[in-house]
Amino acid sequence: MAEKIFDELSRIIYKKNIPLYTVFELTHKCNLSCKHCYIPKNKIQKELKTEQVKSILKQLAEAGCLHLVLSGGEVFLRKDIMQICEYSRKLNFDLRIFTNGTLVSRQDAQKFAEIGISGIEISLYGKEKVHDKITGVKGSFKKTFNAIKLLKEHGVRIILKTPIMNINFNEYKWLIKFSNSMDIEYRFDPAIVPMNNGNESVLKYQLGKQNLKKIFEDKKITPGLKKVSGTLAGNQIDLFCKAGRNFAGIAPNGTVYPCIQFLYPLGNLKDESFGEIWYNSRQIKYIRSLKSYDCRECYSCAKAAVCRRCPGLVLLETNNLFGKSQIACNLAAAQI
Amino acid sequence: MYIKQEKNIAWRVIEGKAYLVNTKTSYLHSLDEVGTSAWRHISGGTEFEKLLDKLAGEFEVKRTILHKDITEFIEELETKGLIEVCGG
Repeated sequence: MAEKIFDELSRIIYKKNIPLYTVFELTHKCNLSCKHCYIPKNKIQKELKTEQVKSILKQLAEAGCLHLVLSGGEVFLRKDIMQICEYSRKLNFDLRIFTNGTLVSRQDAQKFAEIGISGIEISLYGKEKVHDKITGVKGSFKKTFNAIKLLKEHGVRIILKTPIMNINFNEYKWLIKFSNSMDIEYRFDPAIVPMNNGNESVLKYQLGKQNLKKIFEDKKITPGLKKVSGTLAGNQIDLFCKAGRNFAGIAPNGTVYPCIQFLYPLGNLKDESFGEIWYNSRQIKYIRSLKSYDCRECYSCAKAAVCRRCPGLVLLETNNLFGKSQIACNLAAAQI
Repeated sequence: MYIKQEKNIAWRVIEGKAYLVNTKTSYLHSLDEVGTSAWRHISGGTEFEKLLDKLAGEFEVKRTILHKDITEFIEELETKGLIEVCGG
């Protein structure tokens, strides 16, 4: 029944371009210095004020957004984070928070339980030594672990998120064990992406071919990562996903993107309303006009059926919306 | 009898239909036109009798006819964990 409702809703939102899913980055500031982070540390955006954030949330609710992610940087560096969370729930969003957990207090955990949050997604990279080495901050594991315990105590749903890289590959089995022992969900992602400014230095942490294959073959890693199987007819291949139709991204300075990973600016909420940008901007009309067959090389590729081609990633990697993503190619090759 | 939305519910009305998510389970529900109208009143908390009055006015249906349907609707919402019902 729920599946039927989901299909019905998916059809409606696609037809009407309703941004059902939005990731709102509230800050790019962070108290950790993770080696693989995609946010450049030297160019921190000026953030929106509390009232501006609230106004945007109201506009998002009016546009039909239901699933909202508040992300960073580290969102708990904003003093108004709990106020924003409470307001989001007042507007009836299905709310998720992405955080490193280091600043979560007992009061925060209690408040999350009270307001009925959908989940807190926490980045954890492995055991203490490896985690602290990746975050660049000694003691960060202990603080994150403390947040996991506090949230768990208060019955808040936690999802552990781990990018699997060559610097923490040996940790993933421990992470599964740890999640199971705490009875919390986990998710792995082998895709490391270039920094928002196009700097590809972080790609050196990507897994090599052999370890990628191992990851896709390890059944324990599901539901965090599923091997895609089967084939799709050419006309079913969607090389532009739902970004700019049902996914929206908002940066700390108010810039709206088709998705937070698809850095093609559509407009800024300090100058225009969300509705004007989402329904009338020249940029969004262009993004929605793009067709899978415009990506000639990818469209005819034998790996297209299992490819996770992300238009945002392609743009960062090649500066060409119709290009080929080497990162997606590597991931697809590991699944065949 | 006082009825209010359960705290773990997220919802949005899209193209005239309410879509509700239980944030604890991520389970998705949908309501029809009358259900959506009732939900708008329930979400802020309402007495059962007041809900009947409002819906009878909106849909121009006799209160007595509406009573049975809305009672069943409320029972269904409660069973699905979407609302809290206080008092009998």
